[in-house]
Order: sequence, then C-alpha cells, then structure tokens
Amino acid sequence: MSDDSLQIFAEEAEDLLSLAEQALLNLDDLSDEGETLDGINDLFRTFHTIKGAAGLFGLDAIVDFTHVVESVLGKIREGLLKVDEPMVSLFLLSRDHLDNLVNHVFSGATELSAELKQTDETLLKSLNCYLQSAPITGEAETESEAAPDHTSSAGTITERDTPSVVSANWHISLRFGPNVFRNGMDPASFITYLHNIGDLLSVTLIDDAIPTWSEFDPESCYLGFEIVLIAPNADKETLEDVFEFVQDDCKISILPPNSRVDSYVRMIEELPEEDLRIGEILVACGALTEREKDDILNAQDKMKDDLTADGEAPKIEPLGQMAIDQQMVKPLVVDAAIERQNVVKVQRDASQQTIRVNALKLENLVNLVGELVIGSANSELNSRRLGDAELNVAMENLLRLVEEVRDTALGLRMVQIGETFNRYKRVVREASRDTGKDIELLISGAETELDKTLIEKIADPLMHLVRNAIDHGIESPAIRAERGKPVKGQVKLEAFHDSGSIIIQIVDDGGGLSKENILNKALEKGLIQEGQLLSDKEVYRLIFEAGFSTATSISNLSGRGVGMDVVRKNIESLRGQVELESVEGKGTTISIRLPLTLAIIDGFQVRVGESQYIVPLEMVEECLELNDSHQGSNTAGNYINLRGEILPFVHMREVFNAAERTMAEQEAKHRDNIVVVKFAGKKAGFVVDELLGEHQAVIKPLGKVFQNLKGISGTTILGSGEVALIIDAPEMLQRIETSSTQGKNSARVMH
Amino acid sequence: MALIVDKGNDESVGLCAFSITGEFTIYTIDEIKQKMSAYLHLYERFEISLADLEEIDSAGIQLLLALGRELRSQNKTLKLTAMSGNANHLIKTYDVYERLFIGVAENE
Repeated sequence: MSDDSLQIFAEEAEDLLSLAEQALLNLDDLSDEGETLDGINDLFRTFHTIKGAAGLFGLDAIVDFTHVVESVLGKIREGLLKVDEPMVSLFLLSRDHLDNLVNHVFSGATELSAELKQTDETLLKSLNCYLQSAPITGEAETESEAAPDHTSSAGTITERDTPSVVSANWHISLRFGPNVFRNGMDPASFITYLHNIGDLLSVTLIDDAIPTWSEFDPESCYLGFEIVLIAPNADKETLEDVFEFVQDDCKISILPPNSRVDSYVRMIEELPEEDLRIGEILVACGALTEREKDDILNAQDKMKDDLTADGEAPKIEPLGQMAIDQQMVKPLVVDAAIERQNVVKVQRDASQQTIRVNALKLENLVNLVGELVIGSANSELNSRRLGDAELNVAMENLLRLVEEVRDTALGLRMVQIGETFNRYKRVVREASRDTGKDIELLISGAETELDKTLIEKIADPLMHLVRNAIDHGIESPAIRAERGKPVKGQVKLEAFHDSGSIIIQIVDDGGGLSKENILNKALEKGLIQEGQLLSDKEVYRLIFEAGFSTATSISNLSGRGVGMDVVRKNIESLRGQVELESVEGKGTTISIRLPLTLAIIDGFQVRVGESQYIVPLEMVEECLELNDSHQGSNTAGNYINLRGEILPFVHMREVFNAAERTMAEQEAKHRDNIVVVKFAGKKAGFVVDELLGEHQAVIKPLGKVFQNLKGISGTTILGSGEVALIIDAPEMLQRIETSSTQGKNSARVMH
Repeated sequence: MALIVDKGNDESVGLCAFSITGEFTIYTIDEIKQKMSAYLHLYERFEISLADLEEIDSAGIQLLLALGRELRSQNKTLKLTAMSGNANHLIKTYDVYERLFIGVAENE
C-alpha cells in the first residue's frame, strides 16, 4: 500500500469522523424523531463510507469495528432500536476509537497496541449488547405476529406482522434496464461474480419482456433473473455492491434469508410479470414453498380488495399502486439503494467542491507570490523612471493582476472557523456532564475566514478558554437559580472581522471575575505591590500573568495555573492580542484579536528622515497635514484637536531617532504629515516627513537579534531593493496610551 | 461476424440452417437480426450452428431466445445444432438449455 493513498485515506477518514462527531452532537434532542432519524442516516452513511474505504485498503481492524457500529445504526434506522443518551455516548466513544485506529494505521503500525485492543473489545462488547437485544430473528417476529397490531388503516400488510419464509437462502430478483448492453455491461458477469459470494442454487432467466420479433430491438436488454443464492455469511451490502454499477437503471430486489412474507409480496408486486407466473417461478427456483406462494398471492388479492373497498379505483395502475405501497411501507430495498446513490452523490459533490493540496505546495506558492510582489514593485519603479507612457499603462495593468493573484493566493489558505468551533461542542458536552452543569454552546460567525495556520495554532488556546469558561465561569445550576439566572448556562463563541483583524470572543454568562480576588491573589503571588492603583483593564490583565490562578480547587478541567499565561503567549506569538472584560455576577468576555494574514499585507509607505516605513493599511484611518492650527491645540505637541476629538500623536522622527532636518528642508518650509491610525478602538497619529502611498508589503520576519525590538513588527523589501521597516501599530498605540496616562514622553526605540 | 446461410437449404422441406461465426455480441447483433429476418417467413424449421463462434454475450443469447419465442408463436421450430465452448458456458450460466431446443442437425 502506497503512503500516498494511505495519506488520502487518513485525511478522508479524518473528515468523515469529524462529520460523524457533528452528527452525533446534533443528536442532543432525541425527542425530535425526524431530526434524530436524519442524524442517524447521516451517521450510517459516514460510517459506511469509512468502512468501504478501509476495506479498500484491507484495514481489517477498522472494517470489523465499523461494521458493528454500522449494524447498530442500521437497527436504529429500521426502527428496531431506539436511540438514547448512553447510546450516543457509546457512538462518540466508538468514533474516538476509530480515530485512534486510523491514526494507528497511518503511523505504520500493523498490530494493534494492547491498549487499543482493549478499547476495541470493550466497545464491541457494549455495541454487541444492542445488537443482541434487538429482535432480529424471524422467530421473534413470528411471535409478535399473534399480537393484534394491524394498525394500518388501508389494510396493507405492514413490515412486522407477517411470518417469514422457510427458505434460508438469499433471493435476488433482477430486471435489467434496456441500456445495459449499450452501456457495455453484461448481466452474465454479475451472475458469474455471485459465485464469489456464495453458491448459486438456481438462476432463472425471465424472458417475458422480449417483444415480438418485429418489435424486438436486439441491442436493448429485456432480460430479468430470479436467483437463489446460498450464502449464509454474506451481508446485504456485499450483494448490493455487486450491482452497484447497474443500480441506476435496473430493478433489483435482494431478500435476505428468512425474509418476511410481505417482502415477497412487495417484490412480486413490483415485478412487471404476472403475479401468478412469478409465484410459480419463485416456487420453481426454490425461493418459496407452494404454500407460501399461495399465501402470498392470497394476501395480495386481499390487499387489492381492501384498496377497492376503501374507495380506490378497482383497477389499480401499477405506478399508483407502487406509490401507495411506498407511502405505507417504505421498501427497505429501495431505501438502501437510494441511500447508496446518495452516498455516491455526496462524495461526487464534495470532490467537485474541494481539491486536496499539499500544504507545502501552497506555502511555496505564497512565497513565490511574495517574490512576485517584490519583483513587480521593482519593475514599477523602473517603468516610472523611464517615463514611457505605454510602459506605464502596461505596468498598471500588471500590478493590478499581481494584486489579484496575491489576494487569491492568500485566500487559498483561508478556511472558515466554523469547523474549529464545532469541535468545542464536544468539549462543552463532556465538560458539562463532568461538572454537572447544564451548558449550551452558541456559535456565531462560523463562516468567518481565517488563515489555516492561524486556525491550527489558535485551537488549543481556544480550547483552554472554553474549558475555563465552563469550569470557572458558569456556576452550578443551584447557584444560578439562586441568582435568578436561567439554569442553563451559555457559552458563546463568536468570530468577526474588525479593521484588518479577526476577533474571536468567548462569552459566558457565568459568575464573572471578582476584582478583589484577583488583586488579593496577585499580592499574594507578588505580582503587584500593596497600594498600587490599577485600572480595571490592568487588573484583568493580571490573569494572563505567569503563575496566576484564582481557582480555589483544582478540577479536572483547568486550574492548574499553567493556563492563561500560556494562552497569552500563544496568541502573542501570532501577532495577536487577548483581552478580558468581566462584570461580576453577569459574565466574562474574552476577546482574541488576530491579524488576518501572516505573509503579505497592504501597507502605507511613509518616510521618516532617510528611512522608509510601512504602516499596515487596514489600520490607517486618514492622513492630514500637521499645520499651525493643529499645532496650537497643544504646545507640548503631544495631541491635536481633530474635529473636536483629542488625538494623541508621536513624532516618528523622535521615536526612530532620525537625523535632524537638513537646512534645505527647513528652508523649504517642510510641513509634517499625520497618519491617523486606529486599532482596537484606539486612535493615534504618527507624525512623518512624507507620505509615499500604498505599497504591497511582503512581511519578512525580523532576525533573532532584533526579535525583541519594540515598535517594529517586521521588514519588507521595496521595489528599489531598499529595506523598509513595518511599524507595529498596536504596540505603538499602546505606548502612546501609557505615555499619555503616565505623563511621560514617548519611549524611544532602542537601536 | 457472419451469418452464413448454409447450402442445401431446402424450401420444399422447409428447413433453413444458419451458421453464426465470429462475434455474436452487442456489436454485431443488429446486423445478424436483420439478416435472419429475411428468412423467417420462408421456412418452417430452423437450425443454428454456433460451432464457429469466437465470442458470444448476453445479447446473443437474448436474440436466440427472442427467435425461439417468435418461431414457437408461429408453430415453427428452432434447434441449436452445434455449440462453441463459450456459447455452451453462457447457456449453462443462464440455465436456458431447454428453452433453446438443442439437438442434432437433421442433415447429418
């Protein structure tokens, strides 16, 4: 088995398993039967597909296990078992086990580890309990036959109230469609193939459909078969699989051994030939005994009489009859066939929607696009220098295309955050069970897109925050009732875009944070000094300090004191920020702010002294000239009056220690410009020497030596080959804020 | 493929003997049917030899079945006189020996 195809299997299985998990978690309201049945059908399909794929690779451990799960699901579908809470939990465990099995296989191991084996056995035991308790044998049905449950008003024979036939063999009834030959298929090959599954007791060719010689089209297929197969160990799917390629234009009925009489009734009815003749054929080929045949035909007559008595037209059109029939008793066979088609269709649709691409290739592409952007900036510069009008027009066009290519390439890495959010449903479900709290998870903004690498890295911190919310945030039902809150607690996951960032919020309606507790704890841990005055924000920020934990007891979920500072570090390593707001008694909101992309940004290019800098364009609100009227707002030059609003600003010249202006510049009465930047609700102005306009910046990370440099988040290469520094606007804003509150001058970047 | 109408066909005794050779499959079936059709009203008894078949498929068997049914409805007869291995195999698979009356050619 090649690693490539195994990889594909593992990925596919992973997708399917996460689908299964979702379907299971959606089963929370078991009282809604319609929805439950839909969910079970989804699950059945998913597990079935996994089984099929695993079978293809000969992964017996997975096939065997999935088969049992599927059987239990099948029983539920047929209405022989009822889903309950423990069963859903068991399915969830089974899903996890399958996940482990898939990983195990993918890691290249051939033998199951002892641990896996044990889980396997335990789960199989539990699953088999369900299988055994279900009334599946013909005898059990026969017993219930005596019970008067003729509920069906039209007098149709329902699924449960008929005895089964004595024949212990499979009966396959085939009517091939007219195009079978033209489609390059030969019925003989199917029959020959059946030899691989069991022994053919009899094959009866039905040629009744062949018309007279003059009307006979020799290229059309008129053939039908009644086959009796001895295959005690086969299952229905194996048999259905044989006819997979012709199922679309053929009538196929597959009746398992000891099928109920009414299955035969239905089958006979659906066959185009005369009932009597089919009856005889079935007797001849050993599917039915003479007596059974008579009973069936009688039952059928009775049914027709009943229908007539009910006011139906005495002559029943075959089509109408089938419809009536289907309405009352949905034939399992047809059901299964439709199911199979759906599976195939779903797979086909999915494959049209997505292509799996190696992440490395994508990364490579993004890198190349980065180089392309730099290259095109260089070309643009040169074309401008040459001043050739036509070249400039062509260049414009090219630049526009490069920009589109860039956006598309970056867009390839974007995935919706919804899937990640859905994972937490499981966490909430389990955690609420463990803690005895009643909690629901609300999700909004699931369609918000985020860079795939970001999503992967944010998943763990998010998990921690969600657990925290459940463990520390939401109170126990008793306390909630006491406080007059709804007993069911809410945790909300929200995602949305905000000025070039994506914001993920975890909101709970729990107890909120006690500032006093935080302060006491911080004092105790020596994080703050006695008598230190802190704003609300600063108090809440303490939570993210290393070694801080307010939980008085350590629970299974959180409270080991290693959490929040790690969460903060993780988020900051993604150039993100985390903030917490809380109202005691009402709840807590944690906001994570992350940059949209990691690789290429639209930047606003400015000049300070001799150097050029880039401000992320999404954060730039507006640009103004710093003139005397503004200057008049504040003599110290720390803020201006911007249309009635106070706008603090910094001179970038000071921050970056740029050289003094030359005499020439001073003579030219140079006027400074202010770039107004907004981030996370805060606004500030950066005073620069010159505005140079938009620039696509490919972010090159700073080397190790400069990693701790404050105020600079990276570098980029300009078209001219010069290096420009990217201003870390959030950091800069933070600095302006602290310097204005503490009344100090803005700090200088250490060069 | 060919449908050979054997020499010695005798209108007076109403016997017509065909040999089908080469391919007797969906690809040739239309042609064979058309050729056969020209003779059906001329004779009473038909014999078909499949000895020189190279290939036969279910369409071939179906044609033989259709022919048998048609002739029977006109009180005429059809007899398969010789069989290639693959024809034999397919007829066995479908269990239609009896329906395609199989016997020895009258002339022999």
